[in-house]
Amino acid sequence: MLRHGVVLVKCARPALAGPSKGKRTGSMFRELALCLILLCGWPARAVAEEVVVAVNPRTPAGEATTRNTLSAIFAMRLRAWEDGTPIRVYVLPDNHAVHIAFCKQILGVFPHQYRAAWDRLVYSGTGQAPLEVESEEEMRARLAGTRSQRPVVVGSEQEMRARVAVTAGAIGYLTRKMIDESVTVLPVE
Amino acid sequence: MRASLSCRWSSSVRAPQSLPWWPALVLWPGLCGPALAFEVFEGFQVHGFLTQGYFLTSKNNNLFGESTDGGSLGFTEIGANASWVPRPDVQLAIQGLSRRAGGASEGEPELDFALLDYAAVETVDRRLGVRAGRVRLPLGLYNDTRDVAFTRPSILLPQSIYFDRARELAISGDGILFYAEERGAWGNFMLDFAGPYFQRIGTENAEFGIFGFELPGDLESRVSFMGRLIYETPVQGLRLAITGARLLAKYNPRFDPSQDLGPGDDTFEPLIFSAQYEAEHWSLTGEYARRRTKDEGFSSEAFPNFDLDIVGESYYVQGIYRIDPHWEMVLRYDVFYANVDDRDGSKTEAATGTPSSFQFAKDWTFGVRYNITPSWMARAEYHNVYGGTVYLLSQDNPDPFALDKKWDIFALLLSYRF
Repeated sequence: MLRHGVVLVKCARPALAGPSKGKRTGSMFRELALCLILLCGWPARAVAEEVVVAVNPRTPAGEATTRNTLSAIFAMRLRAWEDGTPIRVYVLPDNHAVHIAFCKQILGVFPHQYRAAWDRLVYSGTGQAPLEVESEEEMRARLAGTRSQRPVVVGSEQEMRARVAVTAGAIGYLTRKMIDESVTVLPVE
Repeated sequence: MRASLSCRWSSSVRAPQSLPWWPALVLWPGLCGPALAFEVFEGFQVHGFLTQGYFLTSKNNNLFGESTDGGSLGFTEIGANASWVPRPDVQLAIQGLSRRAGGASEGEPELDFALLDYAAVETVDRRLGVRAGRVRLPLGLYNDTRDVAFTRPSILLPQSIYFDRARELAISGDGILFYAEERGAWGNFMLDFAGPYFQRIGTENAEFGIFGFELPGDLESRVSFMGRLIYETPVQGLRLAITGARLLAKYNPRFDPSQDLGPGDDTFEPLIFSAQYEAEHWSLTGEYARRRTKDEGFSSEAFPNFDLDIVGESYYVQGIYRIDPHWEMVLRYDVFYANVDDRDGSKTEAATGTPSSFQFAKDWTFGVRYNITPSWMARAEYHNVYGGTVYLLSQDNPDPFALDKKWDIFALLLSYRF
């Protein structure tokens, strides 16, 4: 499932909204049918579940944020929270259904426009790209401040402080079912 | 920039070198690491790109090497950059580039940008800052990342405005750049002002770019300025821009006036209007440029009629349609006039003997793009060109009188980025 898988995996995304991943092994016919539906222009169905903005519990983002603030953050042109903590932005790959849904639903921008903006920053020396993670599980782990899905044992108090310092500014997005106590939902006004 | 011809000092065409090895060192971590955004440590990122092109041209017109017989693989772009944000308002960035492009460059490493960026103000709706060093110049819509195939609308940028032969003069300069952004309900304004800065006139490419041939003496940059104002309208997806510049260079002759040009001043003043509308599946882009070129003091005993003061004009209209996340098509009509008082080139041909095809260009382009993955991309493109011999490098085409007025380009391109 590499090259050809891009389409199938994407089309199979609605299954993610189901109770278990086991459902992704559903019939090939259904996936193909979904593909056809998507190609015919119902991409809004790609992610059935609500996408929310998620931050590290220590991220000093306040009680809520605005769409303008999020636009500035995800366009990588706002690099610090109000108290000066550096903002660390995590995103899923451009062709990930949750990323597409986040761009369109919450930011009101198409993913290729964000990619163009990031490319302009990166290849002209005027800014940096957001950090890309492969899956929602990895997104949650990065936001929470752990590199894997298992809890990380830190060796010393210094390491703990360093780790918290790095993740304290973290921001990303997840489907609501992925939210647990390790990350905080940041409401958008 | 300006079409002038002289065979007197035209250098011989050099054989293209093999690929340089050093970019492999910087590209290696990217190829092995995760796709896109490669973070070495917190706040330090490494990115790069690698592009190989294939060009096949009709008749006698060589593009990026000897492209008429079986085509040419003489076009390669390899770049790598590093950026470091030690604190949220400071960024250091450097990019190295190796470019093989026919006789203009053979892959020797060049410093593309190396800058310090300080943002004095950075809020949700306002930015104010300064960059110093070798900075990217703000020119039109596509100059900022013109060496990165992923960010171009086609394999070749619209040549009427983004002349490849004058690329070093347009892409970056050495000096200071101020930037300001203001966002609000009435739209977003983004101003970039480069200046004072010096043009990159270190190699003979600049002389080829400006005059079409290599000068015996030295051309040196004088203090230049370039500014661009972008306005993103409240209408989602519609952006307008205006670019203005005043680029100055001075010529120091090497020989006496019987064998050389005089100690002249070259002034180039382009004004570019840009408009772009971007929808989910398609975009429409147009740019219009007027350029004033003034040469004073160059005329000499050997070249009595060298000085000039002309206005050139360029425009293109381009439509892009994204069929799905993988496939994209582009159609463009691109027009260039070196001198608005001689649109068909006949006056210049009668007065100087320069073929009229150097004075104008009409280029129809059709291309397809296939995004293999977010980091790999392939393209194919066809150009039907009438005139446009001024776009060709003099280094690849030593005899201007052998060039054809109606010609075609077929190009393929494969690109990787991280």
